[in-house]
Amino acid sequence: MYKNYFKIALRGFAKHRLTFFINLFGLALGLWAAILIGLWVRSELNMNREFAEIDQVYRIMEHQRYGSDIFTTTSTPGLLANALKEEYPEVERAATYSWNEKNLFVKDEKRLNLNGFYAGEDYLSIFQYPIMHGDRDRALSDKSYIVLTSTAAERIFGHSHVLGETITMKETEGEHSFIVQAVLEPLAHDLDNQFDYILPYQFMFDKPYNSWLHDWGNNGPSTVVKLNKESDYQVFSSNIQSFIKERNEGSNIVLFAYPHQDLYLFGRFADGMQQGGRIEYVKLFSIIGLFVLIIACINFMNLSTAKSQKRAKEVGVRKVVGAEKGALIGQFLSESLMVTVFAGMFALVLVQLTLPIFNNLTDKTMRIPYDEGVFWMQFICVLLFTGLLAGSYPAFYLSATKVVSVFRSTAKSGSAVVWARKGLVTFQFILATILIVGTVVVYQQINYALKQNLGYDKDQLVLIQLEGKLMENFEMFKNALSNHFEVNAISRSNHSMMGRNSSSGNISWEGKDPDFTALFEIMRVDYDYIETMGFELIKGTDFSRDKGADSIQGALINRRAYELITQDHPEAVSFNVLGDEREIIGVVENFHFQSFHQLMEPVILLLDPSYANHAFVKVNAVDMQNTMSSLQSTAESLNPDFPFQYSFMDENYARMYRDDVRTSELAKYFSILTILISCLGLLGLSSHIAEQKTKEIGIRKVLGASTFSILNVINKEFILIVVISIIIGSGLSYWLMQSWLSNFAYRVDFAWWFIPMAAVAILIIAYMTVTLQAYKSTQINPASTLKIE
Amino acid sequence: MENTIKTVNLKKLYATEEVETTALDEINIEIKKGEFVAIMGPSGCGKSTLLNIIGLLDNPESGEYFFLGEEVANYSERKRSQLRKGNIGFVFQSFNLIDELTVYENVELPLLYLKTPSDERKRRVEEVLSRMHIMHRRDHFPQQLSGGQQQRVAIARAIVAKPAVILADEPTGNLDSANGEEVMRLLEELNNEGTTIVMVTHSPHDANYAHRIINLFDGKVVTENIREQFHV
Repeated sequence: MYKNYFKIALRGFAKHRLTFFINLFGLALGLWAAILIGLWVRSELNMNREFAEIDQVYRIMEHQRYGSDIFTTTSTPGLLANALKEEYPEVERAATYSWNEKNLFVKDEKRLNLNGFYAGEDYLSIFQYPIMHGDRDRALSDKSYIVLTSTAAERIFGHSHVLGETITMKETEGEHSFIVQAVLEPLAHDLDNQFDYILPYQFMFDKPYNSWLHDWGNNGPSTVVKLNKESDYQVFSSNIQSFIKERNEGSNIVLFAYPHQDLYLFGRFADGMQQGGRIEYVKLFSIIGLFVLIIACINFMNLSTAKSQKRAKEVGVRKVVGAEKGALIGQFLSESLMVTVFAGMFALVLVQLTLPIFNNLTDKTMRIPYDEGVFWMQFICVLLFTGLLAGSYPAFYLSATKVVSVFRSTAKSGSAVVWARKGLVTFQFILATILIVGTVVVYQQINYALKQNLGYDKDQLVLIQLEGKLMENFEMFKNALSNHFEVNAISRSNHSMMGRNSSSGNISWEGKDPDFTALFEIMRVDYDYIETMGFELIKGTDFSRDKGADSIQGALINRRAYELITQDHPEAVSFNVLGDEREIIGVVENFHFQSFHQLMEPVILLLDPSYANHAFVKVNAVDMQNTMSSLQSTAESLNPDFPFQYSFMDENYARMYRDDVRTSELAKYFSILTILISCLGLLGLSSHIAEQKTKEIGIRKVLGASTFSILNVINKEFILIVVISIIIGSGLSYWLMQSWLSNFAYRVDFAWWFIPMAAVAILIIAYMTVTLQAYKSTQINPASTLKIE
Repeated sequence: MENTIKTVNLKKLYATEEVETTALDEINIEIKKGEFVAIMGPSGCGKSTLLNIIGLLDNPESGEYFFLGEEVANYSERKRSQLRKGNIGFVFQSFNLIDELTVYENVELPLLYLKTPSDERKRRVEEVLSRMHIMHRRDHFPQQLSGGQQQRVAIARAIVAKPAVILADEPTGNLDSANGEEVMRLLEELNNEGTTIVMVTHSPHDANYAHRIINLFDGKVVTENIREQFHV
């Protein structure tokens, strides 16, 4: 019997090629989108979860209270890990680890900039990276050891059998040699931290300029613990709440433990409560994927029911010769499953071809896991879902066709099916409207953020990493550059301007309400900083060499900080920061050093370039290539041991919006896809309507109707549906986008013109699609159509 | 002789939103096993409606219908379909072959739904195709055949499951006279072998092949003529 179904389906496909290709192509596009999104969602859900016993691993995090605000961070004191391990028996392992940084490594003639971090002795026992060579427990036990990934080892040594080999790291303050103590297997792609090396935390801890790590009052590195199997992390979490307060009087920190594997997806906290994170993107794109797939299924349903008149005869005949309803449902479902399987194979090919582009867009290295049974199971489930969903309505509708209709010459579609078809098209276009309006709003917001006045001038502003002699001899570097006409200004700072770097709540002033605390960002800068960055000085003066001592003992603050300091004491001229009394010598306009998701925070600028590792150079844009090469040659002549590392601030700033830009890019592509699939459906449906109206068109032509007026007969079937969809879709998208925009502290207004613009675009596309198809039917000689009737 | 078909006060209404039409009114007929009956009457008199009910494709509004001795007037679609399978063969004016299936596959279809084993299926399909002189066209599609050939395929399909009754709705309506004649001779031959045949027709010539003619008018049986008497 199935052979018969198969045969009739294949022959039917061959006979109704247009319908078949619209169905196949539409479903393939839908499945393509669904598979791509599925791969991405899978990769996001698996992120950082693949380690053995990862469910026992917890990050120690802090809630810091400032007035009515709670700031949540993963930064912790450098002493925390060991202290927790000593104090709490349930802590099996504990490790401190730092942020990633790039360092220059030298082996013989090879010089490589590698990316890595410092981590405590237990780190590799907590995160059980597969080890190729070496001993997990000993690998970070001495500060002369280093752990390399096999990829890094191959880059440096040409092979990965490098246990016991020595490698040298070059830093500004000197050289250090390390012995390779372990080599890790190449890192899995589902780890968000991709690194080349790990150095012992002890090495970092013992550096003289890192004495701040020895103080319970300072935060910086992360702390991670592995609890034993029996312990309840929530009990542990409540036990450690005042751990820091007990060691640092007056601290505003409440400590808590948070499952490490959840941090990637559920990493956003507001007011001390967990509030989403990347999981929102996962949900958003899962919904988009499902929408696209449903839209593709709707096409299938519409086209199948539209050609039901043609199939009614077959259904009748089959019933007459003995087919029962179940057999017919089976036949139509197996037909839709067959199309879905073809579409699925086509979609896999499309995915394979487009995955590199998608990887680039999403900044991932995904592949189709052909070798995993689970993937095939999921793939088959998606095909079954799609095939059954797409085939369900036609199957039940067609199998219910009254067999007596076979004896009548024509069977008209009942009003129920016409309404259902219209309803499905409406649903499609509602989704299309939401996606289009959504894309426009997202694009507007991202553009708004990228083009906003940030309070500083990020254009033609180059950020140069200060290392080695460049850090020691900055003045020489500055003087050398000052002679270049391309360089307008140069200064340095310890702050990259890309998110929080160093902040403190330990700020006080005369008359300050003792209960009031606020987190101030502290930037340690050099002379000419205001000019280089393009800050607007609204009060007082800049740091100046002429008033050296005043400048060193004074401070510049931004408007937000000034408002806070003067709220209780309008005449305030000084404040206390980290125990030092500072005179306010000037106030600059507020500026963004975080993304637009955050408000502009109070900032204190101190004249203290001793640890400044970022140089900012304002250049003119006449010949950027030449300018950059002269910056490079100047830097390299002064600092031959270190490679020249720079970036442009406008690009760095755009990188802060990586997730948003990605969302907008992806939303753009998926909304184009949705429109494309919806129009494919419209194309097929209009060809059927044109076919059904052959007689009407013939009569109208005989009576003298113009081509245009006939086109309108067919178009009017759709335009009303599309208009209704746009109205509903606009309302829904207004509501959805308002809620998305509320994530931004600074945002565009939802402008009314987004909606008519999307509406006109959709209407034009829909009209053109229908017209394209309907035009053919207006060109048929009425004599022939009327004769047939 | 036992009745293959018997109706008692059969009534069928067609209702739209505005009007209700009585398609069949108090129909009482009996058709005996092995009989060849023609149903005649002007367009719209209810011939096809009666054939649908007799063929278990539709239910009457009221009245009783005995098919092979079983009261089936209120059978569900499912039960009717089960009873229809293998017991009734249909022949239509417009042939109603499935365009996407070959001659062989069209004829095979009823046996597939009867779940006949494939060897048996092959034997029986080939047998009826040979009998209908259409074996050489077995792999052709319906559109590649003449009207007469298509109707022979339809008859082959109707008899392949060896049904007790063949219902024919204007079987020669779309054929020229020579092909029409051939189809009628085939039906006569099947009837001579014992198959009960009920045929709706406009053609007095075709009706001449029947033993008996039932005349319908406005949904009612107006006359019943035995063929011999008809000729007198």
